[in-house]
Amino acid sequence: MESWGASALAGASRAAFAVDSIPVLDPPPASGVGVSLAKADDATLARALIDRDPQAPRLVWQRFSPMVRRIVRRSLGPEQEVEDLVQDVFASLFAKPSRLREPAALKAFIVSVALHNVSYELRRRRVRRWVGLSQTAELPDIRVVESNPESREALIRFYKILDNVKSRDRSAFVLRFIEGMEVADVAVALETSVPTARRCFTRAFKRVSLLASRDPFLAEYLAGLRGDRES
Amino acid sequence: MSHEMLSPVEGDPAVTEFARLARAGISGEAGRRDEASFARVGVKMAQRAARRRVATAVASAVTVVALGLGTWFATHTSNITYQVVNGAMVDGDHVVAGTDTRIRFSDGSEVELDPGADTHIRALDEHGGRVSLEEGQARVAIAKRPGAQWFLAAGPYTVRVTGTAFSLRWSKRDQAFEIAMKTGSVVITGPLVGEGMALRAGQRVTTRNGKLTLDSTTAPADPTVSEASGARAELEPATPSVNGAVPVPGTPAPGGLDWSRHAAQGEFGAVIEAAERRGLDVTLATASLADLSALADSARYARRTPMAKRALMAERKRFPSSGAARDAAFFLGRIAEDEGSGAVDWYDRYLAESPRGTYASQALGRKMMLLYQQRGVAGARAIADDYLARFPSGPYAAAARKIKDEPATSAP
Repeated sequence: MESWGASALAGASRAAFAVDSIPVLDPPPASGVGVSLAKADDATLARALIDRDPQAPRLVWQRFSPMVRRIVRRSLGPEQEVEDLVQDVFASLFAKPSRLREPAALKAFIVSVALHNVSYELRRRRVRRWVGLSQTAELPDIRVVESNPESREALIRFYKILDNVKSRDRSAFVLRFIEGMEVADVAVALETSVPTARRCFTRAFKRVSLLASRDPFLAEYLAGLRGDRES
Repeated sequence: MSHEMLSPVEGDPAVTEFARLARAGISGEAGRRDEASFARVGVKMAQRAARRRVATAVASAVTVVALGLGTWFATHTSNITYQVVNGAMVDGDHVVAGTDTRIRFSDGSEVELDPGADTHIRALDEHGGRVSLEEGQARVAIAKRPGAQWFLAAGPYTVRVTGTAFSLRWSKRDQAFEIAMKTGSVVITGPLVGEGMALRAGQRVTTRNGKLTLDSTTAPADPTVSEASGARAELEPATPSVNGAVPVPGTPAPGGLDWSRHAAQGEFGAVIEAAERRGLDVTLATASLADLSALADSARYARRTPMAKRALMAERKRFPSSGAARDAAFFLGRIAEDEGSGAVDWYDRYLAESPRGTYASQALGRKMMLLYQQRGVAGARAIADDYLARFPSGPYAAAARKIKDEPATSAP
């Protein structure tokens, strides 16, 4: 099987490579090594990944893991458990980089893989909620940069509302309104047409708007914001 | 990224605020353990690869097992079916032949019936079946298959087939049997052929009036004819047939009496008389198993106990591996019970030889009652437990429960 694997159990400092036909992730590059690849564009990096360049996985991780982490967090809510999912996204990518047919579309491909994983996670959570493994499917530790307690509470409530939106519509909503992606990019990430992508985030938009208006805390919170602006 | 494209949001304060809060509050910054997180990607890849290998191995194993089971079930467990062409089904499983009537079986075997022939399909399973030719003539072609087991009966004769073609005839009125081999080989059993007679292609056997005639257009009769035939030929040469008949095994008493049929019709005296006329010693030494059984039954029912015992013992001595010999142990137990001693030994012997035999419930129950009479509850309790475990609804179950419930000290 052609893939990177890991004997990185001892940590990323492990420098072994190509053990038993499963290459391990490369160690941090020594000074000067991989510098040119680090500065290369996405397409070049993607080709290096496909060609099994030992430096490529780390560089892809460094370049795209913040974006993936952000999309996953913003899709699922401000919780801590995203790192596992982020790792899964890159494990999928590194295992079969040959699935990437257009090297120039590396970023879109990674977003697409991330959304698949998010979608799977949302379904898993929904099932857990149905079968009663978790009453709210909330994870206890919330990590939000927002320091204002009211804003923090509002954000949590918004994500509770988002839990009532279908996972595909939810992803479209996050990419379009929170990530601020172009409609065409949203469509590519969702692997659908532009009109369908538009219908998805519009449905989610309407639902979030409706449910937010019915939430007393959010209604008061939003009224307070209007008051602040007027004053 | 194009925030100017967010015009819908601006129309709704809730969504606008939500987007703002999320953008401001949730970033994609890596934690301090980003290097460890990257290392975990490699670990996960290795774990997935291992899981895939296991899954592939399991899937392969499951596929192999499923294919094996599928093949096994396809070839072993689907019972043979049949269809009747140009014939009438009567009473569910009788085929009465008209013109060009055929019974086609799903394994490729075929029975072609002459007009007026009456055939009874008694049983079919995955290996073959039991078909009786009640009257008339049939041409039989049994498909060759591994493990094929077909039994075609014609009157009191049974033809065991594994893959061959032959014609078969039975006349009730004349009590005449005929089999003519075309291909392959068969083994026939019945009143005149003792434990079995092997036939090959080109051979023809007819029986009529207590005489068996073998015609052979190709090869001589199979030398595996039962031992009884040799004895018969020596002791009681058969009447030569018009076609150069060979000596026949197990011919019953002169006069063509069918002992089994007479015994079944309650004509015990006729059977006993025929045996005595022939000479009891000669009969016991040379008669076929069927005739010995008929004689033993007739003697038992006619209260000719010594003769019954000798016939039963002859069954056991001459045909020790037969079912009739095993059953004889039970009947000898019954006789011993009437005589007052030795019954338990015979019942034990029967139960050892035929733990699931027809008379197992009777043998165990009778043994239990005998032990109860002889030794009381203590001697019979274990047998009672055994009986209830094996035959909870058997005829001796009530007695067994009473024995179990009785105090150990009580005497019968």
